[in-house]
Amino acid sequence: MAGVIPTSLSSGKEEDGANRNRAALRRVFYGRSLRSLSVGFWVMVIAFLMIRLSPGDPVRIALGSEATEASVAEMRHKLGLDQSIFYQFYRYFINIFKGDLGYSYFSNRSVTSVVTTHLPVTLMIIALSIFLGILLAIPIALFVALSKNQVTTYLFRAFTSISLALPGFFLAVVGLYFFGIKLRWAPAAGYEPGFPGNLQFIWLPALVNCGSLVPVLSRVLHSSLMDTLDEEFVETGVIRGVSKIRFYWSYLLRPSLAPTVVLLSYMIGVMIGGTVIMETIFSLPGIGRELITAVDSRDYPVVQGIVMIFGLIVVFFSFIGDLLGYLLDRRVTLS
Amino acid sequence: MTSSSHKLLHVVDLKIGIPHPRRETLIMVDNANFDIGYGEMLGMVGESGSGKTMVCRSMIGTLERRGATVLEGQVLFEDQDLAHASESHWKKLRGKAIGYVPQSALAGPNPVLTIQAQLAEALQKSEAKGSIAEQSKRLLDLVKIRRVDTVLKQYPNQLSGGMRQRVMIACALASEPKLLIADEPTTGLDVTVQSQIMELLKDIRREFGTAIILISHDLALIDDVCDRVVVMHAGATVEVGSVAQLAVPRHPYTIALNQSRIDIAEPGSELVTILGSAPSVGEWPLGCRFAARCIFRQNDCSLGANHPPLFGERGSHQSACLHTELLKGAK
Repeated sequence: MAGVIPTSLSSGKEEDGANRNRAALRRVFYGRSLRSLSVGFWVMVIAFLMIRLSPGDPVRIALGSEATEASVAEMRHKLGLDQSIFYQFYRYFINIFKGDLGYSYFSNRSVTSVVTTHLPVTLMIIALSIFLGILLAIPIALFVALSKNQVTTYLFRAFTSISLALPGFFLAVVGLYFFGIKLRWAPAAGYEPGFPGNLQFIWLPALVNCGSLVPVLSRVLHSSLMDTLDEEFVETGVIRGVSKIRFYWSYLLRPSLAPTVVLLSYMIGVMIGGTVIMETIFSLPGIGRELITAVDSRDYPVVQGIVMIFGLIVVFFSFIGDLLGYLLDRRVTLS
Repeated sequence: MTSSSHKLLHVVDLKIGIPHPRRETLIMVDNANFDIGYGEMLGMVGESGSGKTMVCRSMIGTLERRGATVLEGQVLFEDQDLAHASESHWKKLRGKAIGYVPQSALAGPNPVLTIQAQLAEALQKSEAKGSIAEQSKRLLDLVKIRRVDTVLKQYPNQLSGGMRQRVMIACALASEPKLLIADEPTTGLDVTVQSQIMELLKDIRREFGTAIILISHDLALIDDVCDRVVVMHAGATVEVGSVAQLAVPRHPYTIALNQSRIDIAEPGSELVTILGSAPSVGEWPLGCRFAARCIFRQNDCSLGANHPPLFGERGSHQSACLHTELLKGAK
């Protein structure tokens, strides 16, 4: 019945497959970069406007109520606040690229030095939280998805909901009591810089951060896994008799991971918020604590610098997350 | 039973169900009986839920995944009973003697692996000469894919439905199987692509002597490409025979299927449909499961506790109807 039908399905352009893959990846990379840059720009604008729009005159607050008009004007001039707002933004914007985020109103430290001293501590806590979160969420989601027992799924949903509902500071206090005081596994406070040494101080705050991270990640991963398990290609993997490790990775996890990875990268913002609280409770010298101090004393340049850095970190990780999601699973469409 | 020992695969009184810890076992297939010879092309027809896919899953060892299990009967593939093979036995069998082309072309290939990687997986157990890369290219040539080097590096979502199904066929052929199961391989494909895939299956069979089980709703298609046909209804084989034999059906369900064919309907006439709908799994009536829909129904049709067995010698034209004498002349 089909003798006349041509047997090839050539679909147009003769282009090499690898090239086409690379071109698609490049498109995604440039598209995402452009978007991240524009979001990054707006982060800078908002951080800049935040001070200018907040009620109260920072100069008067900084100098105290007994300052003379002359000293206020002098300070204003020194800070460049007597210039037009556009010129101020221009200076601010140019200075960011010079690595100059301004100076604290109170101490003479530059904001750049505040960031470079304290940001690594915060990033370490976040990195460890993410590491622990992934380490816990993947096995939990896999176990629940593969168990045919309804009770397991039910318990999983119940526990993740409870864990999500518990606020971080509550878990932190419970953790401190249990691990810090009862078991003496973790010091209650203090910090020691340097990589392996600092782990004993940050493992507990990172674990507490997981209290909100793991439920979200494992729930999303679990539901993606359930969808994947219904897909026909999983059967193909079984029939081909691929090895167990390969089956779990290529046929179950990898096709399910993209939403979780993208979500994780968006959750960096939430993690930063959580870490600010952890740093205060565990007296860690992270940037979150500096932020709180700066907000307390209306040290606007410091607040502006830290908020901008936080924003840029979130933008950067969203970019990485989107790219990673695409690399894991080419079906992911990024519009 | 003389010829049956020379056949490639025998399905004997197969019963498949999903056991439940508290409720009764849900029976999906009961009384499935058919054989397939070496190099034969066997069509399998029946409505959705008639157990076609379940029967095939028992041949590729994926029943357990769905919680189903073989309760009774045998699936003999070259003297090995697949129906009761252990998981460790399946580890050796899978990806070798039986190839499988899944139902939906779009969802068949693994979306996160390149075509190259998928062919490499399928070629794991291949004993043919040549590197994986050479064999992969040969396989894609075989399924008439052009621009092989391009396709190898692509992901499934970059290929059309027809191309994906060709890739799936290439993967299924990788281990040079003696039996290829194609479960509605053209679902969701364009008509022109459908016929290309069918031509391809015919070529493969001609060239390698691969036996093929073709599951389809489409009687016209089966008439066109198959040697013999198995008709399934509500989990049971109701008729088996060659394409020519089934032109004179001996089961009312086959007659009804024939009458509802669109391809031979008179233009302008109303399309014939089968009375009622197939009984759902778990709600099968006693006796003949087609009786409620049958226009030739007699009083004794629903009397027996079990579905009527296939009458006639195995390998000949067999039917599970108690009253074949009433069907004379009906088409």
